[in-house]
Amino acid sequence: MNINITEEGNTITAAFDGRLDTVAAQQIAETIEPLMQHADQNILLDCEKMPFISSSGLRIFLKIRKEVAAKGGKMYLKNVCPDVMQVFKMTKLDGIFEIIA
Amino acid sequence: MSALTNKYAFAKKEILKIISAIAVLALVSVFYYFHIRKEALHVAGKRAEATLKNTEMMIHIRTGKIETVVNSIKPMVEYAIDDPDAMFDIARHTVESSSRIMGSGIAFKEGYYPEKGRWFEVYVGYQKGDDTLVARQIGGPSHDYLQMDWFQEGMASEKGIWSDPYYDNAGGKTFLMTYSAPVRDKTGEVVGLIGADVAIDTLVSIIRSIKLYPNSFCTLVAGDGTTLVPPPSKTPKGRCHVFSEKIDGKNMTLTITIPDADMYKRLRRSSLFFALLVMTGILAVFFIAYRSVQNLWKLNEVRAKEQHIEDELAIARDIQQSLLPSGLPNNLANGLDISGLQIPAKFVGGDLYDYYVRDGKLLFCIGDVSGKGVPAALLMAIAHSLFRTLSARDDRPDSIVQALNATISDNNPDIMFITMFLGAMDLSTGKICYCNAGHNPPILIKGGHADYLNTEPSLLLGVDACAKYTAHEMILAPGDTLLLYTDGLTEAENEQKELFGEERTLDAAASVGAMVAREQLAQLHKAVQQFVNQAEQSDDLTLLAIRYLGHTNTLTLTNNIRELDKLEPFLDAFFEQENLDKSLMPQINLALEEAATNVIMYAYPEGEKGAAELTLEVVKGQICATISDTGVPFNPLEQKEADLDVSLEERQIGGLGIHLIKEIMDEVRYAHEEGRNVLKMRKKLAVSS
Repeated sequence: MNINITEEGNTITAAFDGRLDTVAAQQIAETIEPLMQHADQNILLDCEKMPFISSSGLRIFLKIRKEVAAKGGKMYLKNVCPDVMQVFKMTKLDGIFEIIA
Repeated sequence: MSALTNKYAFAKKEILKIISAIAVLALVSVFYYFHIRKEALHVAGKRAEATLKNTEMMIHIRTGKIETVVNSIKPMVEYAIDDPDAMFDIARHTVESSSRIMGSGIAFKEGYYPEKGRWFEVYVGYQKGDDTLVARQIGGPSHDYLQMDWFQEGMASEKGIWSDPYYDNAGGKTFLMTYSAPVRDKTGEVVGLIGADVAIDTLVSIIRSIKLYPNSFCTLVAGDGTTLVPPPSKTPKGRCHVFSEKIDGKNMTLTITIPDADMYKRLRRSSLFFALLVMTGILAVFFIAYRSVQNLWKLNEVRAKEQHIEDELAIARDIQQSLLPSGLPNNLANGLDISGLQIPAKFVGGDLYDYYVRDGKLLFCIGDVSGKGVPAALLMAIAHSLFRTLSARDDRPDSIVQALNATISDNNPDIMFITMFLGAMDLSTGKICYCNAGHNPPILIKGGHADYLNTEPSLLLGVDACAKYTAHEMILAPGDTLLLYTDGLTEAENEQKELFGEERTLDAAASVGAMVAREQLAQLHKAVQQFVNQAEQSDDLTLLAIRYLGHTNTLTLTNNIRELDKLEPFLDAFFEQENLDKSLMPQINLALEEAATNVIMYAYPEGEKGAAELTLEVVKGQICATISDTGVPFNPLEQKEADLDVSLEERQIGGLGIHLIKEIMDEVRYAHEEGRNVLKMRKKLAVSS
């Protein structure tokens, strides 16, 4: 799992590349630290290249979401593939995450 | 940088050694010089002493003649003692007896001849200015010899005595010495003296003739310090050594003065020669030392270069090792257990093996390039990449080998060749199609039995570009192992030059049938090592064990989070094997990952090893998954689920996993059976198209 973090204006984009499974979720704890630090801005999670997410992966997203809510930023998701969308639906997170086309 | 510093430190050390050696040499030389100098002085002293003694003797001989003359005339005086006037003739006779006698006197004690008065001394001497002898009586108040030392001492002496040298003011204006002998009357009483005056300058010629050294000179000094024979007008300059000898019986001292320049002349010459010799020696030492230091530097440079080559070879070895497959992550899921082992005899080896799975087939090869070391390793790398390239679009071993051979044969200027065994195994059936290009026959291990594969070998690679290769087939039954090896195994040599041999190889192979592939190779390697013992490994040793497991639907995961990586390939293989619709796979994968994560993370206490066992089955259009473990009894289904209806901020992050399992699977059940936590899950499959 690779995460490519770029900054444009006051939007931080994190492009996830690979399966966000339990193993990957453990490995990226440090990688997402910049996102946590800029939680007062707009954070865009690009899921185009993320075919799979596990509950540990969901927890990562929820952690970012919680930090954003606390600091007054916004978190968006885009390019969510159907399999991952299915998981969001199963956990009712599809109603909580702001998913843009 | 450090090498350069070392170089100077090293040179400094060597130079210090040389300098201290030279210092010792110089010290010894100086010590030796002073020792020789002392010797020279000692020798000069001895020579001077001998010369002085010799001269003294010559003086004695010369004066002895005078003594003889006087003593031979003395009886005449005694004979004519009663006739005082005869004394004039006797004295004249004395003077005439020797040209060296300048005058002669005969003196008598006070009033011996009453008719002559109180004094009577007859003296005959040469007249001033000519050779005429004049005889007269000189005793009187003006010449009161009775009071003079020479007379009193002469009268008191037993035999004759020599006077101190004295300056003759009256006569020859020269230094004289007088020999006086007592004269006795008929009764034997001493009544007078007969004496002869001798000019000391008669000794000058003797003394002057002494030439111990070119510039040495002698002097004669009277007891009162008067110089009798003076040094030559031209005395040598510089330091001198003076040796002296008191002449026996005469109050005179003979000295010899030797200038140091003369004394040490030979020493100087020889020490100059010696110094030259030492300097030459030192130069030679410097030269030799310089050359040897230079050589050592060169040697160090060569060593550094060697080290560099060794470093590069170590890198080459790493590269070569990285070419080798490091085990398939989905071995077991493919029904395959495979392991390879390579131990090069040198840094890099000429053996190769490789395997990979493509389209349900295991493609593998093992080969041995002729020769060893870097050239063999390079050809091995070429053969390896050819294998990969060719097998990527072809799975028929004979055509792969044929193409490989053609390429290698075309570009083989050094006529190196390769033996190779190349095969393709159908993972669903265990059928192996293979081609043997002159390689050692593999061993087929069935349970506790091992035998060489009876195969007709084809020509080895690299010899004939047009050679034809044929393929053969065999079946590897579940539990069987095909053991491939290079001659590094069968031809491993011990210290007695015995080979490990085919018999021992078969025996060792038969004993490992029940083990997993990795263990099999470890065991075989151990057997060879024990046989070879201390002997140096003579050839590269390569082993490849292919163990067919048949089909299995079981995956064992130890309680390490990384083990979860095995899950997806396992599922992939299972879906492939069962020909299931893969659109369901992500969901099944997610559910199983969540279940396995639970076991791995929570079933066993921290630090304790354990495992999760996953079994998949397809029963009546349903996929049945069972995950079991021997951990702490725990029913995950009783865990509080995440409450998805409360707002996000109130939600506990947790319990999501079990929720996902329940969502995905149609049925989830937990039981604690025979000490195991067993979680059974079922999911209805969509009808496959």
